[in-house]
Amino acid sequence: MTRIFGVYCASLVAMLVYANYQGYVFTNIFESQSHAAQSANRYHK
Amino acid sequence: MAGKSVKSFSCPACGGIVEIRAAGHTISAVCAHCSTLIDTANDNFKIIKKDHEASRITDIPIGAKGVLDSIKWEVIGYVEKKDKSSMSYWDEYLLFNPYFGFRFLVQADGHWNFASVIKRHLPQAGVASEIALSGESYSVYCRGLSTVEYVKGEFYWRVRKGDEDKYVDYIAPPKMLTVEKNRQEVTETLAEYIEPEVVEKAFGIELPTKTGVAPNQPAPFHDKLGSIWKITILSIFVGLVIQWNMGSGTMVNSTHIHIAHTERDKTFSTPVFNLPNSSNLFARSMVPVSNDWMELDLSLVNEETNKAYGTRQVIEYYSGNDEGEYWSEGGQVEESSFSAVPAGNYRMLIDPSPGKMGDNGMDVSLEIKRNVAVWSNFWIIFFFIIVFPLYAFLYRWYFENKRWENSDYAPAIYSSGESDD
Repeated sequence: MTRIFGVYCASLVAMLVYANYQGYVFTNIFESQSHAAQSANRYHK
Repeated sequence: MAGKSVKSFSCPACGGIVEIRAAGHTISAVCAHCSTLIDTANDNFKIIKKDHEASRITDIPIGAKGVLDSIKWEVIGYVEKKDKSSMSYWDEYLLFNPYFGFRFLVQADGHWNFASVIKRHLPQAGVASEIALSGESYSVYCRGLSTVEYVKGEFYWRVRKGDEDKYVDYIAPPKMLTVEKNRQEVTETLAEYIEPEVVEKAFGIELPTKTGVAPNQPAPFHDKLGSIWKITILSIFVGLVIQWNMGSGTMVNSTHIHIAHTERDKTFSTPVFNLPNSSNLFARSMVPVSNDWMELDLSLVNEETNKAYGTRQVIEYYSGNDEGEYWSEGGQVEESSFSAVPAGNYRMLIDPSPGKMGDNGMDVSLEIKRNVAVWSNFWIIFFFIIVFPLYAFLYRWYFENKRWENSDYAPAIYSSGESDD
């Protein structure tokens, strides 16, 4: 059990490293922040 | 195996056949037909106590054989005892192996112990509240007076219904040391908790389900809690170091715009800025609204792909004086984040929706940073790390409370939750 928990914790820490490296913000996971490309066209010069 | 020492004779009371499995060791036996207690120390087979009670069915029958600790044992005797004050009952099965002697299987509330009599002088046994044995410290759990309620099979000592012993139980889970005293002798028995499934498997029987927590039942995670907490602290420490190393981010753009009264529907844009690699982006807006509001639709647009990432900020600030008391609510600063924005050239489009906005218009300052340390990421990871150790700790505490609730000697930490009734 200790070993499984150790692997679990190591995975979580690795996830934190990856998220920081890639710039993920976990609290934004459920927010859709990407529009369709067309929606930006009206502003684009 | 020298197991062919089984000997039989006729019961002097009823004439039924009485079998002796540990011949040469047994000094008393109970007739399985009439429950008469017979002296088997010699071949006279005198009646010690005549009885007419029908033989009871026990969880493990007399004569059953099973392997425990890699040794084959035969059940030769059974005693039911009860505590005179608490009226709790337990069963003691006497096991015999011609090479290894005698052991006991003790059952209470479906919990089982495998026990043997120890031949070590423990001067404080039965008196002290703590006893050291083989490097372990045993704490007193209960003291009482036991009485024999029922006897079946054969024994290497004289036992009869009504026999009484003073006893003290000490525990160091999964072990329990029991000190029994009567007029003739002091007996010290060391028991180790075993799961009922082990007994079931050993004797090929089915046992009733256990209830409650036994005095010396090993607590869940009892030998792992220390390691679990070490891993937890190490993981959190590593997470903190990683998070601190992220720093406070790099400014990629700082823009100041003025929204004139006539530009309420105009879309503004920041200059193009570059993100050299995938990163988060934080947009911080400062608008000096006062008793007013401003809504900003921000769109981060990739110059090459036209892909846009949107967010909305509502900035509102109200203040006033009510009966001489100053109050305020809201603020003039708002921050939004963009997650994992791919590398590339971007501009931020600002689409303001002002509230009242006076004739002088409104100033908006926008700061955009990348690679900002996101502490919410850390706290989410922290939560997932801590949840199991916390559960293990609380469950262990609950378990220990249950263990000690039947004891008059509970440590202070476990004795505060006693019922009031």
